[in-house]
Amino acid sequence: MLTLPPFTYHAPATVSEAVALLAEHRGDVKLLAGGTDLLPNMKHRLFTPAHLVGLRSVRGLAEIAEKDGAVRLGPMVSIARLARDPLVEQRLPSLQAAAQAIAGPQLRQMGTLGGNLCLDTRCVFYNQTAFWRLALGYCLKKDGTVCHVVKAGKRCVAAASNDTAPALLTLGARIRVAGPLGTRDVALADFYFADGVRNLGLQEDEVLTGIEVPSPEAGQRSGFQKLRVREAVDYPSLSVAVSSALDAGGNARWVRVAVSALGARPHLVGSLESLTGSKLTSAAVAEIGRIAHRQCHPLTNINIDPAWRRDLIPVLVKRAFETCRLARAS
Amino acid sequence: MTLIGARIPKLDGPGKATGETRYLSDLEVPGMLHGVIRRSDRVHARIVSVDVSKALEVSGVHAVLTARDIVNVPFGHGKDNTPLKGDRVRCIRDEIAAVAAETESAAAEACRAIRVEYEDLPPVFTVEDALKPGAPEIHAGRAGNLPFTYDYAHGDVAQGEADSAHVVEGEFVLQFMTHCCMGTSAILAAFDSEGRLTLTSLTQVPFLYRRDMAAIVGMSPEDIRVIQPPIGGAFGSKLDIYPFEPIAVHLARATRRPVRIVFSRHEEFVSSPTRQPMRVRLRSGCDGKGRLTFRDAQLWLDNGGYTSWGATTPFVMMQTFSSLYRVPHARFHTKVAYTNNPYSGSFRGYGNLQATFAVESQLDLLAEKVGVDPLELRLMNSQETGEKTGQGLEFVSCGLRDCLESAAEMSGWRAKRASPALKGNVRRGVGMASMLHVGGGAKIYRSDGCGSVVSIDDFGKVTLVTGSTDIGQGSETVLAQMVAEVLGVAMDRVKVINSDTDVKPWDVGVHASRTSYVAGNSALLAANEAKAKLLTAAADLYELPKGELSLSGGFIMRGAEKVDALDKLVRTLHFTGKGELLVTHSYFEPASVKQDAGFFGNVSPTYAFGTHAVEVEVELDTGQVRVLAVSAAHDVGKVLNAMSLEGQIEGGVVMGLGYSLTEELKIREGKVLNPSFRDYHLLTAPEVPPIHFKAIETEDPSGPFGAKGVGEAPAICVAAAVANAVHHATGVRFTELPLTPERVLNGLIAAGVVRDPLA
Repeated sequence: MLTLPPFTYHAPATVSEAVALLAEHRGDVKLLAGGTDLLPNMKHRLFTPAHLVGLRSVRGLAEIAEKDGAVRLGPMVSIARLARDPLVEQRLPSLQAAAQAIAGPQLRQMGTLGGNLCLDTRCVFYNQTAFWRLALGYCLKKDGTVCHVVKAGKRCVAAASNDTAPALLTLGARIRVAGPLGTRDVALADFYFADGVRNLGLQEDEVLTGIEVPSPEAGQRSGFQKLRVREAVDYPSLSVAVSSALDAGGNARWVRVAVSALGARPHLVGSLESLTGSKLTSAAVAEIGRIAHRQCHPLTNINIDPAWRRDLIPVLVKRAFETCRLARAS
Repeated sequence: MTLIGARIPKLDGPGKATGETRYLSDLEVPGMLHGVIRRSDRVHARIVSVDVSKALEVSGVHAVLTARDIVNVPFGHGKDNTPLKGDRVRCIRDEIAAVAAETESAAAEACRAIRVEYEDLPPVFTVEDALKPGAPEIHAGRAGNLPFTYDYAHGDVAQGEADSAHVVEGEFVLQFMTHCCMGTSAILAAFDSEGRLTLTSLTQVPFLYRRDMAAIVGMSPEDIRVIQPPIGGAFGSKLDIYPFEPIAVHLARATRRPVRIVFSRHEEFVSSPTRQPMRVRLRSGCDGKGRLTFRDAQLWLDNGGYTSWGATTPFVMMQTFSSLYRVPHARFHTKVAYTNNPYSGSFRGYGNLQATFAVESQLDLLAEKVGVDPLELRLMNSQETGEKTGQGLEFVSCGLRDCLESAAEMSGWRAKRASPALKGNVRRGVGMASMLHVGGGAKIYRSDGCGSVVSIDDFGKVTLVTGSTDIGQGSETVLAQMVAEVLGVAMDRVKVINSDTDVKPWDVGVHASRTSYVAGNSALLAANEAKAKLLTAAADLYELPKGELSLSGGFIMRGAEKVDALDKLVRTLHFTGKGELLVTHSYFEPASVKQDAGFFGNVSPTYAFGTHAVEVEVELDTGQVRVLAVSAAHDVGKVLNAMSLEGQIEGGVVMGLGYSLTEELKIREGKVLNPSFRDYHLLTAPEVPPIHFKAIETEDPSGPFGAKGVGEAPAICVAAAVANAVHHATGVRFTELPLTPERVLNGLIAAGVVRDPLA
């Protein structure tokens, strides 16, 4: 068995208590939501914090409700609940599809939406035991100075592997963060950075406290596709989320596509404005696939051929549009 | 017969299902210390120095051993391994030092505190590089990095070529695969005050283990007792002694305490054996009608840094090249080469998954050349009962033809083969492959036998003490059934003891699909003798003709009339008259022979045959292969336990599907890239298709109730059937495993079946 390093567990009852604990133990503390990402990483000695601040006892972080033109999701909503919640099913089809495609039943039960959004980036040279990493000579992301994916690379290319992120990006989500100086709102698109060491715009003493998704417009549809080795358990080799809003004539008011699991930052595909006002025909979808393909350059950060993962972008874009579901009135 | 062929749950089932079973990792004894091994973090290096001073300072540490502290006896099939490595490491798993401490975490901390200074040596990672002139020598004095070669031939391949209307030739590349036992490797070593050693060990070969271990740790074999606890899977991985086992003994000796070593899952992936990766170059020929003319095989096996029993897999593989279907001329040449990769071992099928993949892929290629259905080509070349092959294998029972026809029928072969289904982006196809494997052990030692003792106590409880070993395959249950059947008692009246070398009689071990056959025949001999004793005693006591008596329902019967209860008769024998015990014993030696230097001879008393037909779906835009159904027909001789047999078949098929589709231990420059269940992709429930099974009962004249071994069979011919089905679906032949979607899509693009999506 791989064992956990020793730590002290704190169970604050409020967000401000949690923030205070994070500030108090700054440099030696991690926030624990479902633990499905953090605890295995601790067993691999990727983190050895002396303190863990658990969010289970904090009230008000597990709500799902639609009000004031937005669907509000608490960060402690479990992935399993997200996958079956009727409001999510009606209003945010792609988010539901993404939640259903995460890991397996046991992990979905424990894992949380906030935890998934803050998932550590992943790499074949990083998600390994301490001894394995020692044998390799460590890497840029942890304890070392060399990147084994990109020789002479200076920036970590570990992959964002959270399935909910691309879905929420295409749904225009914003998140709320609480810290010692109060709360701030940030667009999810601005929350991620292209640096695998630290791809989150979250300070060590900050807590993600809410996710807000604009209520869907009339004619809005969304879809999600995930490529993985097996139909259960696996992290994505590639994930694609799409959303669009069609006017009464069937022309797109806007189209958003996100591609993830390739690099450190979930990629919101740019240059799709030309599709505004046109119909999403199969030719148009193929063109979107080509645009997305041009913008993505996967590397060997996981054990699966990057050229194949890239080639599959247009395929998954096509399938995501084909399986899109219309957001229904709540 | 009432019990033979019935659906009887495994005797160890309830304990395992409820969590009551205690595995070795659950076992703690008073005073026990935890052993942890410091392994090499280099793949090929000279050890300059090992400094253990900091490790000795860790609280709770009782001993830290390096090669300097023990008598380091060479061991293993090539005598090229040692428990601890003193001067040189040859692969990433190598053992440099070992710690025994009060807790596992103290031992691990001490291991981390050991300072090792290395001087890297030039590494070799491929067989091709290892065999190049001037390649770094991995073991001094083993010139050419070539510990073993195998050469076999029958007939005259040149004549076979001359007789051929069609010849196909190709190369097949097979990957590293690992066993993934749910229970990790473990051992508990304890000396008593008289210096006797008790090893609680997961070994598959307890008696050979005593002998080999005694030599390694400098003891007499009779002073070693091996206890075999319930085991969380073996699949061949426990055929060899591995360095951690003598290390535990050395730690126990140094600390005068019992020492237990249990591998972490990471250690299990990196430091337990693998299935041999290999390259197979094969030429096969047939005449204008499709009758096989010859096979000519050359193989290159990656041995890794040391030699285990895995290096002898060519011995099994050559049987497939020489004797699966009628082959008048065959030649086989194999090189087993050292590399600095993790070293390979024995694994269910023992080379036969690899050999069958090549042979059965080429049968489809030949069928295509001739223009006949692959089923017809196989039937045309199928063997029959009574045949003797070019290698001298004698098929006293052979159900291959029935297997072929049954698998075809279950899969809907003729209709599906006629028109591969096309549905948008998804193609469907069916493919088949057969297999031949030993079905009653393999005589690789002077004896391939097994001893048994049957006793009946004064309450009528029957005990079978068998030399054989149950590693989860269900032999305990099947042996109990056989004894219960003979003695006419219910299953719950039979207890099987099979786990202590101080108690049980000799046996070779559990391998070569031998236990049901060899231990079964042995148990039958003893049980039949016990039956004869009972009937004789009853005949004498009641003055009845012995020939009219039988055993049934716990009674001595004369026709439908109860003569006496079994327990009462046994008590009578104990307490009155001569005072006789009801104990019988037997030793069964199968009618097989050790092969000669040219590998000729009937190495097993009987052989298992099987055919799998597989239906697949291939997504043209992703390359994803989905297996829709597997239809498996196996010549099992006779069904002993229908439920247990289905379990063996299903488990083997799933193992074979993993080999076909997703499983690969990825090694990069000698290092394992995916040492976890997260990254090593065993199939999960959604990928497992319906498995249709038909048992072909050929009633082998020498088998217990007619049965033959089936333990390895169902894993063997899956991959070739999958590849043949993918070919049927897409027209593209894949010769490298696993059939990952990236490999398949690239193959489809290269063959022009699909266009590059962006071209």
